[in-house]
Amino acid sequence: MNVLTRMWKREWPLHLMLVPGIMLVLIFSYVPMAGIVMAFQKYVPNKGLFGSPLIGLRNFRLLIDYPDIGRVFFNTVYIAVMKIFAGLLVPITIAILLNELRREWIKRTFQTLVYLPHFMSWVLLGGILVDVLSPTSGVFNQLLGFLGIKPIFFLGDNHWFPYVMVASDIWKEFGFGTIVYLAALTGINPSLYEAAAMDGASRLKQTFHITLPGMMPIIILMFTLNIGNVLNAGFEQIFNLYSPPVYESADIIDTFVYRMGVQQAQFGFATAVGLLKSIVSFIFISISYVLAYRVANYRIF
Amino acid sequence: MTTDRSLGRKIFVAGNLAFLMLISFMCLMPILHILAISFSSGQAAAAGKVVLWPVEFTTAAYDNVFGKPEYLRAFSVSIQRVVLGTSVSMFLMILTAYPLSKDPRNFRLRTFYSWFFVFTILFSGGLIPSYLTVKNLGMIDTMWALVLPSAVPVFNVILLLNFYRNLPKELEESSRIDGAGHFKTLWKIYVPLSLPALATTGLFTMVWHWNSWFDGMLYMNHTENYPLQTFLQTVIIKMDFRFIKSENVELMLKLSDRTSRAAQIFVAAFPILIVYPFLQRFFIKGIVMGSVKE
Amino acid sequence: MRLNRKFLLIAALSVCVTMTACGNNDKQSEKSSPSASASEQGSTASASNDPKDSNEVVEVSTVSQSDPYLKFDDGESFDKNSVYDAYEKDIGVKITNKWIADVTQYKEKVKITIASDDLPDFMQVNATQLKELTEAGMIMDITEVYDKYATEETKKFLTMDGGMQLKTATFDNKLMGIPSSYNPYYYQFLYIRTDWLKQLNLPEPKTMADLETIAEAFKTKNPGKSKTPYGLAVSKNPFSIDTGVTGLRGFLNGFHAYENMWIDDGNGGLVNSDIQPQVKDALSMLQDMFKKGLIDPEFAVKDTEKEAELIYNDGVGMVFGASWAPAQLAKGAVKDGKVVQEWGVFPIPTVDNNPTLEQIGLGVDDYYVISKKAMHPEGVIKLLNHWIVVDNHPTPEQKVYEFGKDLKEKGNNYWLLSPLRVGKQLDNNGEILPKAIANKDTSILETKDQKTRYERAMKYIEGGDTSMWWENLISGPNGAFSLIPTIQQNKQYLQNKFYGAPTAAMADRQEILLKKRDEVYFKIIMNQVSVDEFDKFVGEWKKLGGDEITKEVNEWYATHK
Repeated sequence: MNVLTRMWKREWPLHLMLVPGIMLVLIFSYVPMAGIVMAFQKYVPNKGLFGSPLIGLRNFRLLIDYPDIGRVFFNTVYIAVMKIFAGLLVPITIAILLNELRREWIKRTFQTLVYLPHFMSWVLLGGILVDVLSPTSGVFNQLLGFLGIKPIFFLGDNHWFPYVMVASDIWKEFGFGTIVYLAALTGINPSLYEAAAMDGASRLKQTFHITLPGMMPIIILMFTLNIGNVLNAGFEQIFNLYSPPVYESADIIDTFVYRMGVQQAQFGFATAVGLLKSIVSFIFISISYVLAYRVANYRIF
Repeated sequence: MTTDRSLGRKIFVAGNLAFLMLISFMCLMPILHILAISFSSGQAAAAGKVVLWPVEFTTAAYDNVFGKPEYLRAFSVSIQRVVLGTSVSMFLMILTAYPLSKDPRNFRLRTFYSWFFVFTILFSGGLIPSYLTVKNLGMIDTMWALVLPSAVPVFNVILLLNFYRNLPKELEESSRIDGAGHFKTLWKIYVPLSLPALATTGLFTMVWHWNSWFDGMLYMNHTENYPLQTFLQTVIIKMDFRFIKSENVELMLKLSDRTSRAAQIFVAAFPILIVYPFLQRFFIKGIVMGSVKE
Repeated sequence: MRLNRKFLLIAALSVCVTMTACGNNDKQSEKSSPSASASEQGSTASASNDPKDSNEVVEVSTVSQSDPYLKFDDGESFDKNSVYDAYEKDIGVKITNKWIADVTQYKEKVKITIASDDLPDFMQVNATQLKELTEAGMIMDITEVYDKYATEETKKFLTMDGGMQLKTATFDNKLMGIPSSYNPYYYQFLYIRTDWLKQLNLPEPKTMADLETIAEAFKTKNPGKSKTPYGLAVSKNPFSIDTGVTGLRGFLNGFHAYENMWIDDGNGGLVNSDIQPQVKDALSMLQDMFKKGLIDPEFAVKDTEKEAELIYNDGVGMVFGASWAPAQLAKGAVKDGKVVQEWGVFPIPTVDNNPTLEQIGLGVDDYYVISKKAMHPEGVIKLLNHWIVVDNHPTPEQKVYEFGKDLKEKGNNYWLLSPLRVGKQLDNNGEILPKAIANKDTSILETKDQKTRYERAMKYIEGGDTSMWWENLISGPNGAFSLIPTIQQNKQYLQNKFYGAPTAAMADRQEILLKKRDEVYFKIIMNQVSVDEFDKFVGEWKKLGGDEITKEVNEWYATHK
């Protein structure tokens, strides 16, 4: 008991600091989680969450029995995984390159410019992409034409569609993504560079031996958090850009759930799919959390 | 920092500059295009004639937004929301990240608490239960409905706790030796030293609050309580042609779905766009190390 | 210790929040009690529609859509305005709003309102929600109250279509909602650049073969001197009813094929139109046109607005569209006050000697339902009665419902404030307007709609106001409306024979059937697969739940014939 009291004496301010956050999260996140039971119900509004009839795993079966489920699942993971990796690589590279710029104002200008696309909506960007990627009049295909490549119908071609989604998503978000790495770069001790330079290490070597290791905790963290998105391939983007000829390569879980929602006004199905997605995220995040701890002895959170 | 003056370095600097210029150019073009559309006539925009310069210049799309009496009200709701929401969230973030950044040896339950928070970004009960919770708390049509449900931005808390951890331990130890408690250490040592991280997470929170529109629709029962983004969803000229009226058609010729969407983007994004360059001031290198030397 | 103080503040704040929460609940219960007592008095009051019998004012709550076109007079709002005042004064019904949402967000809000079991006395919902609410027992069976309080005029008004729309709101002989009715005779037409027809010496299209000839001429002769000339404008959702312009429903109908309808199988049963052989014929011709470059190769990714660019820029001169399509075409046809494109409107051509039957809906998508907890359902019916009166034959004082307290038109669209609105299920615009405009005869105009349309068309014809060009192509002597009487008289339309709520298998399987359908239709049109894939699709359709749905639909049909 003595140990506990001593612990309490030492730690109570830390507990106290967490009280407001925990209270809010309890009220606004944990209490509504009762809604997860909808996944197993035929929800009837006037009977509420606790009175609606249970229908077991029917909603899940509806998902599993879906004839295209394999395809939809594959598309989701394929696009999402590419986005996760590219979404890590590109902002890190750009952050390092920006960091190499000497003049502060040039750096800030570039930073601000690449940050702009984050604020555009997919509805508008979708229209622009249709123009830019048009096989008959699009700029992009004209450029390919100079290289002797025949026009490609990027948005209507099952081979290209997933890559277009990844590339355009990266284009939109990388600038916003660099911010966190730029912040991480500020934490690196400048004297390390000085010492390395004195040892005759080239800039490239410095990047690999000082900059990257310095950013590593944040990189691992971002990776872990993003890996939870393995089943989120980006609804708004794909919904605005896909069409029946590319359903084969473009239909993802979220677009499927959306179309189901149009046909049946039930919340159960969407909740069930949401729950499955959460569980998958949870597993992935846990695995990378444990890996990071075992391999790098680092607790991400 | 030493400056490398070799030829290879020079080539790299030039190449890097050129590359970043190209990238920035690719980001800027579409935005100039959208900007040009927002200042073009509905007819020209609909015909796809606008490239990077307005065709048949008009401010009709902006007049349509600014001309509405609801605009100013929605703008002020948004400002209130961002100020209140960001302050509450920043406060909670700073406070929550601190204990969680401790080593489990010093704070036994930290890992449990961490998962307790992380769990909430993974699992959610969905729209209806969240709505019912807010409704049962009587917060419908109040600012609190927009601020409190998202008051603990867990993602940012995790980010911040990782930055906290990178602060040199010696600082904290010396402060503890001076007799400072946890609260004082947090306020005097952690906060000033994690300015870049605070600017980052603050920006994320601000952008999030500024951009969200769905909760405004969900929790506000009267349109006069809409924040700007929710209000802007309503200015897009999309009409049900089956019940067309003459005044609709007149407006349609001046404006179009496309011009009003384009203007909407800029009206919405402008304030948050100017915040960023301002926040860049806080991305100062060596802030931590400087303080160690002191 | 500043932080400590701040912390206390937050703690205090959270306590406050909980307290206000409780406070509000109290207020709510207070608010509900007076209406409860009012209802007790209300039930003893006379049932007569005449408010003079008693000074009793009943309160009904609803939810409203705020509309960008609704402009309030000074000092007025959804809480207090001259229209609500007029309802209260004229029929003794006081209207309150539980919430107000913009038109774009209304539907989402309705979903939440239903799911959280927080219905107002009455509100507008869609067909699926009507069924859900009926099954959950959340809304009132209004058979009796409608029978008792609806005036003869109302009853007649809502059965002008033979009672079909009311039937769709009836479950087990119980009337569960009031159809938010409109005219179901909503046809597609073929719009063609007549200046090009003339220039290239082409005849008007009578058959689908003519259509292809014209498309080919437009493509090869390129009268618009466009860089991207095509024959027919098509956009990415061509089979949806929501695609009013650049769709292909009219095209299908020309082949006696129909999009997702339940039609007679010839043996007294129903079959789904999506899998009929006529569709294959239509797709085969579309594929042929696609191969010849008569259809924009990128149509699959372009929405109506994007595809319409080709029309505005003289690339395409032929498009299927609803009667209002000229309002869309006007964006390209009228430039700098001059008409630069001449358009004509034609009936849908046919593939053979049988006339084209146009597929139409029921003219009702939404219903007004009354909550089971409503105290004064009769108030809702009174609102309905009164709306029909003031919308169709207002006295001078009743102009307040249209224009507000000044009783004159100033573009404020006060009619949008009436919380319960139904439209005519039949109109005679086709008989009246073309004649009136040709003869400049205002005496035969009957409805408000006809008068406005007439005035608009006249502004173009007499005043040379080209911004009203489109109205002439809709209502004028050679406009879209002028084609309607022939279609009506010869009954050249086909209505969905299934008008029940979605069946169980539909809820689960409709999505995959439509997805597979769109996939295969598009691939055939775009010449990615042979047209024979259609036969494979038919088999798949049946297996994937189509047979099950067909069975359910036929069971329903057996009891509703």
